[in-house]
Amino acid sequence: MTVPAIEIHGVDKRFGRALALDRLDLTVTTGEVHGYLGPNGSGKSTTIRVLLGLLRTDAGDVRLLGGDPWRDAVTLHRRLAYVPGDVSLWPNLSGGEVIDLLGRLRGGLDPRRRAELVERFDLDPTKKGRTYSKGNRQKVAIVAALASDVELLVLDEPTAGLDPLMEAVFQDCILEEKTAGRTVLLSSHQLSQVESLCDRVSILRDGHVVEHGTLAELRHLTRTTITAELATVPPGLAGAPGVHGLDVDAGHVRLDVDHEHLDGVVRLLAGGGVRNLVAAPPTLEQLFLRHYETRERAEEAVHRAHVAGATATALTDPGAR
Amino acid sequence: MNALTGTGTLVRLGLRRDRVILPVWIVGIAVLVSSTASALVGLYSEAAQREELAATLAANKAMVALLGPLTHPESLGGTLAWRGQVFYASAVGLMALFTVVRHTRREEESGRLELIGSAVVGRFAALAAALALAVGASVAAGLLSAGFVTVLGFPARGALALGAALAVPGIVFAGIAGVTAQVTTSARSASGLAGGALAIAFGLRSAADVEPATLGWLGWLSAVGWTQRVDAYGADRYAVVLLAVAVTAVLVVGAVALARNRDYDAGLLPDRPGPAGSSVLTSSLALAWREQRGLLTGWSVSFLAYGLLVGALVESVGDITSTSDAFEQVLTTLGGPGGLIDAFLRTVMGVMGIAASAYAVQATLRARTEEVAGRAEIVLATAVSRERWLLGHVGIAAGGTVFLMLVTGLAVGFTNGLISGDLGFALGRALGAALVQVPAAVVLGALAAAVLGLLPRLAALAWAGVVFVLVVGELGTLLGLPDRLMQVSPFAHVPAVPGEPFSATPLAVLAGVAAVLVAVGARAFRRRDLVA
Repeated sequence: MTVPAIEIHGVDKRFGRALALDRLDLTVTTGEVHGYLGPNGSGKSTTIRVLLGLLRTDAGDVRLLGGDPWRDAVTLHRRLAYVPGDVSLWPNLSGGEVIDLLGRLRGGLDPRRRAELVERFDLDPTKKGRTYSKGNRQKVAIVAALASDVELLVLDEPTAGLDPLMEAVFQDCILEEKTAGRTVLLSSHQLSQVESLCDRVSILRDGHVVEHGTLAELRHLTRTTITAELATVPPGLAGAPGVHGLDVDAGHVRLDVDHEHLDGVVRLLAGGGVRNLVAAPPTLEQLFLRHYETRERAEEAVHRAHVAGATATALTDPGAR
Repeated sequence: MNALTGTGTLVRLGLRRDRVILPVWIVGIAVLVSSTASALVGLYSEAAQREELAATLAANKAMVALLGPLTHPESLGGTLAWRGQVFYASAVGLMALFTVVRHTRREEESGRLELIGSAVVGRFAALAAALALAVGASVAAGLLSAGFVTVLGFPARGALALGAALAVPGIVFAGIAGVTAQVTTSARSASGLAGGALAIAFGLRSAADVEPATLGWLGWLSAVGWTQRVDAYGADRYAVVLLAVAVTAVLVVGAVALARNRDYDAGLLPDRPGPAGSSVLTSSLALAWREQRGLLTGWSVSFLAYGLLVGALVESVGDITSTSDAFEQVLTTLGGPGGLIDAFLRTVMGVMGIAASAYAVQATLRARTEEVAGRAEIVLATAVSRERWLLGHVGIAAGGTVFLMLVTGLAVGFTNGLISGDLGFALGRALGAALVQVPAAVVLGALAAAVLGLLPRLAALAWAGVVFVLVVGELGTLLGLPDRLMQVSPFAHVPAVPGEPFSATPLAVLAGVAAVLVAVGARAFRRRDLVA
């Protein structure tokens, strides 16, 4: 295996008394699309700014494309492109001027690719920075980043403010980049986006990565929800290992079960004479809600989601940064 | 709900947000007025001393151009009005125009006004609240000054008139800023336009005071001239204040008419589309220049206009109009009629040098604006080093300072030469007097770069440097400030050209100091976090 594109070990970053990054570890291997998730204020943007050499670390090691992002900022920046979550543009420069400027400052951009992307994202490059809407400002930065010939894309909630059509275009583009062998670090709150694009994810909480792996691996870490109609409710179900949130109403049973205890609980239920049984694998929301909220609030939220039969796939957060 | 609903709430919001900046302005101005007053008590308490001062002044038109004529040497209050009012009233005007723009166009530009406007708030409430704050602050500065001066033993009636005179430009420039805030889409240009109008008002009254017989009427076109025409400790003409209020009312009606005919976040001119791409924006320096050129253009136009005006006055400064003993004495000290002109040029260029240092600070701090807005982040995430990015802005600030003094020298020399008939000599003399100011002015820009690197959140403190050189340069001797303190000002080391021998050494030292400050700033900027 080659050297990872991003390697962070035990990084601390303080702002005054607040600890924004707390012994952070993160590895992004070359060629993968890595999802970077976490609640607001968990330190995603801080991590990205550290990777870009815009912030110094207080402790730990950071390697980016084999170099030191603080010391070798300029040379490393030729090999990456960045899209901030809240793009502020020069009010008096047109979008096209900004795209060309950023491309040149990165060391050149492909004019054919630029034209193609402007077309695909339906961007009017002649409008001035002050007249663009939020979504259109994001598009300017996305086009500038994707039109650059770079090894690594660092994207901090890049599609906040994009309409669903443009979101789809963005996903196509990232899949093309992946095929072309580029590495992508994608910070996002849009779970559908993460699910369709990312090979692996890291979940950040209070400046610390609490979970990482492929989505399949993460699914194993959480609970399956079982709804069943039984002839008799087996005694001992309430106390069975791995059972959570048990809800019994006559013969109707609803419970959450830890992945490793699934087998035992299903056997137990079978003993009660199953008339009907639905087992729902953990949804992404459950997965993330577990980490996004405190444990009690998460269980409450998961329960609410079940009761409402909610199937929303995005935890949108328009003001997020 | 009418167009003014919510004004009271917005005034309270404004007071809350300006709880530091407005008191600093108001108390600062009142303290300067009363320091001047107490210094005058020490220096000119005898009538004979004041008569002598008046006679000296008749000879030294440089002082007249700067401060106006001393019309009431018979009283100490009249002397105070002469010595202080023009500068302090201009400061009140600046305070007022910044306040209005801060609470109108800046709020609109940032999008905060959109949130406010969606609440139960009338269409013109923000404008009305901004005007109320600015006029209120101007009146407060006037009243507080009057109070301090009265406490120092000056007659209260004249003190009140002086306070009113000080408030006059504040009232008028609040109205002017109310108009410029409707015209431009950026707060910067709105302040720039109103500030330019203030510079013109100051220039008009200079011309009126130097040539009262032929150009005296120009003073009535200037809100700074109106301050003098209140005639505090003389006729105490409060009617001039009414004139200011009436003119401001007309300006407000104009502002409302403009506001009615434009959309939210728009100016008078529609936003035109720009080019679909760029072949000239090839470096961070090119970008910095693109962001800075409007600022330099605005300052250049003001300097050009002021220079042309002052140049036209140069020859008349040498006219001998008085034959008193005191006059003879001044004439001898300054080395004859030619000496008068030299002294005039040095004084004028000294003031322009300080103004250029204000440009240097403002231009350097643009880098900080870019950082706060998050635009520096986008650029520094590309292959542009911290040093290169910062030095782009600092370099433009330094080059712009050279350009401004070049424009001033050429403009003064040009009109002076046309009148005197010896263009070559006049141009050379004025250019020399202008360009020797450059290193001192650049030192202040370099100081701003150092502060920006070391204390980014307090970068605005760099303005304190400009206030310092202004106070030391214009009031230091009067206030009897210690010599060691006055020597801290880089302008204290500018060679007295024309008139005295030129020496390159102090200029080289100043340039060296500037280079060290920039190096310190760039190094600190390289080593710190980007902070919004």
